[in-house]
Amino acid sequence: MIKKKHYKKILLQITWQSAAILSFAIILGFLANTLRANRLALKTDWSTKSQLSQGNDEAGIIPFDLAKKFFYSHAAVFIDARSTNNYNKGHIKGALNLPIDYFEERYWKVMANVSSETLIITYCNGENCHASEEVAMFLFELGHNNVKILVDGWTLWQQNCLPIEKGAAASS
Amino acid sequence: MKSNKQYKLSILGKPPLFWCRLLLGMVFLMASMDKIVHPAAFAKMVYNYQILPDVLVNLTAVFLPWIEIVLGFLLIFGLWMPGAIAISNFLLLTFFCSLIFNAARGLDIHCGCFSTSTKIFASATRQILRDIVFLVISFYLFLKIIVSSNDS
Repeated sequence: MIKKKHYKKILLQITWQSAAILSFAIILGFLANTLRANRLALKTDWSTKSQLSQGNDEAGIIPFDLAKKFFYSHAAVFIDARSTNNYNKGHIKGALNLPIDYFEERYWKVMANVSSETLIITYCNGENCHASEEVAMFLFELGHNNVKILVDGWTLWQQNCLPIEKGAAASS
Repeated sequence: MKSNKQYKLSILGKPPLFWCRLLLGMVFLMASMDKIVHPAAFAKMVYNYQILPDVLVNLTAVFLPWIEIVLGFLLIFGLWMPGAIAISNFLLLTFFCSLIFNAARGLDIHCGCFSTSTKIFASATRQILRDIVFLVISFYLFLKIIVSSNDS
């Protein structure tokens, strides 16, 4: 009976003290953040699109219309960063398949005929897909100076009824 | 009035509970400093964990260091111990699970535990082991607080 009463008392103490500590810390944090010069916005857009357009990464994003223009003028190599299975089901016409999970194994074979100065456009599927971003980073680190990311590329390409093809590519 | 010798003895003769809360308090204070000075860098580290939804990233970067600093002072001065220890256990357990989760999915990221600098890098195993030590100390304090207040 005494023990039960004791635990009830401790639980009550933990509850009100935790609430008080957290409230006090949040007020302090809020005041400090408001008063400081390098204030941090309480809400920031952390999406890939936003981060890349702010120049937070070495590789940048390419607008859809520009990617389309480069496709028709054959001025860019498109890299599909999705899995081989998805690539085989359908991909941008002429795109090479370089899945992020097999990057190291396939890089030399897939990129054998692509020079470091060639414009490369990576894409995957969906706004939250980071594979194209990661592949772009790796390519950049390996000396490809002209790498761009087409965010949500596969979806946009299909929505605009642009040329696609199915099946495995010889290079992948 | 205590003599020097008596004073030294009274410091050394403090129970483990005292040293544990002092150590944990110092850890929280040290952990909070760099995060408070560089909130944007810390926000980037929170984001890199890829656990929290985007809307909570900056809020965590703004408030977490202040929770740590308040906890640090409370532990050092031995105030509001049940509440402070409960939050300490919750935080350390959350950090531990986050580290394990990211190690399991092969995400090699900077811990951001004590510094927001990307030059300071500890391996995932080292980070996890360090967190286990703090978690054990914090759990010991939790048990001690409950048991000792039960005895009294």
